[in-house]
Amino acid sequence: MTGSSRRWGVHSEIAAYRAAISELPTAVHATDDPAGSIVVVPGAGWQAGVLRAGGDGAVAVIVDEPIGPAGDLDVPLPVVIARRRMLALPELREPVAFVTVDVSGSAQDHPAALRDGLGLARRMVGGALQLEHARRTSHAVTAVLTAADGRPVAVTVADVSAPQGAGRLRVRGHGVEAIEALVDDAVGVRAVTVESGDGIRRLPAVHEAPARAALRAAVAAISAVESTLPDLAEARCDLALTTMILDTHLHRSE
Amino acid sequence: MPYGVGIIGAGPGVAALHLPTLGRLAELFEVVHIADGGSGRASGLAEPIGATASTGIHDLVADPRVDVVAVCSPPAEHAAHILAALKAGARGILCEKPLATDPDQARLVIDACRQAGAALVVGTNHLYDPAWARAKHHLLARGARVIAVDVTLSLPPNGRYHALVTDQITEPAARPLPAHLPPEVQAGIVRQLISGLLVHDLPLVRDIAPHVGEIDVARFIAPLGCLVVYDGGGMPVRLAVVMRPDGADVHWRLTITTTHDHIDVDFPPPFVHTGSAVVTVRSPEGTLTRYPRSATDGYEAEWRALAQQLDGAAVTEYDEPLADAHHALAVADAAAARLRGAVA
Repeated sequence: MTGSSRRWGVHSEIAAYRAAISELPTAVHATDDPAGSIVVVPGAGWQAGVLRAGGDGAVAVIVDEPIGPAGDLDVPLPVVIARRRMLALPELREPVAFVTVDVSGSAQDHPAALRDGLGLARRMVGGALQLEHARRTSHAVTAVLTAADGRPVAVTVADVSAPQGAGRLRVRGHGVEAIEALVDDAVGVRAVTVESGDGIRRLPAVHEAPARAALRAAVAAISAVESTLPDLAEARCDLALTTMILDTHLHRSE
Repeated sequence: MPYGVGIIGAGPGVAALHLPTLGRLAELFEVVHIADGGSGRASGLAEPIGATASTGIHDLVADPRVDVVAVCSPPAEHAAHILAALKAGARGILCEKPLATDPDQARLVIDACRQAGAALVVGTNHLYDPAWARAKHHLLARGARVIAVDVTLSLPPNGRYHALVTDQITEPAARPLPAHLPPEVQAGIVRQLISGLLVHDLPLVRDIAPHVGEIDVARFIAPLGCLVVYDGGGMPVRLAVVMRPDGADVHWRLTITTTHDHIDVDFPPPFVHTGSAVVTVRSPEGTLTRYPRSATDGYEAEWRALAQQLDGAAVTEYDEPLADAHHALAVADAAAARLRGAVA
């Protein structure tokens, strides 16, 4: 399953990764030594963690749910960005006309949820987004972004009285075919559906833990002759936009 | 004894909407007269139901069997046709949306209806959908503060739904729009999409967010649609619509986000009679509540509301439809102006 015969050490203090290690017994093992290992860096303060891991001799880094801007961080080792809401999306036969991104929940959950909402929207329109407008009201932030060809992405982030970790992300691409990615932590749903003239297709549920998938990706990247992980570059775009939107009082690009 | 209905207009909205709907309400209404504007379509619609057909509005409003006039003519003619019907003594008016195309006309029409004591319903059917009453009741009972309102509509061609309710319409071939439309044309389309299509939902939006503040964003969406975001009085209102050439079933959703929950109101496709919208509430704890769907849809409900007014069982509202008309026109005009300004 991993495509590698070597067992790589994994240095992590995050419980989900320690559990995932036990689900990949032939590929990885736990270690306290970052040198020569896969190092898992938590999302808060992750940039410093990545640099430290590189300095400690890590062979790959997994950043778990990064928040805050990436700046110009660049390191000469594979960096896997674990984003549990970034569900895999199928190719559509026709491009979507516009995308709506709706984030709601506790304000502490907004940065990660919006980051992935923007990432899903970016994939739905097939390219980078540019912020056109953002406004904050007492309990919500709205934003409109545009793809290179002008297709809009409309974002609403709502502060709802919800426990932390019980938020909802709903991203929907509207067009001849409609695609919806729904991650509802309170309900316990992660689903992608595609609607067309033939009906509604629900993609197979993802039963693998996100931490295990991230570990597999890291092992595959180490084993690859030339690693071309897009994770860091994509996260850089999504995190920068997330920060611009959530920090906004009023942003208008015109 | 059913009320006699005269219908001004003989387009798809009459063939696929009002005639089938009134056919379901035979105990309340009987279509006695249909008038076209010169197309000759009225006779084809009137003959199968034994109604009279005519051209122009004179014969129809003078027909003594006509108690109620359904104004289904082009929007720019609505006001004049309502005034003519009232002058001829109509007891009730059902006016297809929009009530009028400018605020002064709307006031003139409402004043005339009030003076005549005529029953009045504007065909913004979502306002009458029983599901909306449920959603509002939930909002009021919960007492949570509304923090965002979204209306999103993705609509395939109407012909798909016309074919389910009538065999009297030959759908014209769709004409593709040019790839690049001048800003002024885009602004005009956006205004029409708001005042002619999103107007179904704007009375609901107004119930929650009556204020029309600064338009943050107004965008034309290809092939034919728009995105409008505005300040609804401390809460954002987002309106998004696209009319597409084919594909998935209609997606027509009003979402109200409060400090405590999300309320999705999913409306059925236009023209068909499959029951009310579906209301789904998600609590912060993750409990999903789906209210039972009523067998009555908004189209039936609006005609029933008119019958109740005619019977004296319900009071006719004049200020509310006027405020709804002014609100919709305010949004449409402001969005069009914003678009002109933004792309000039």
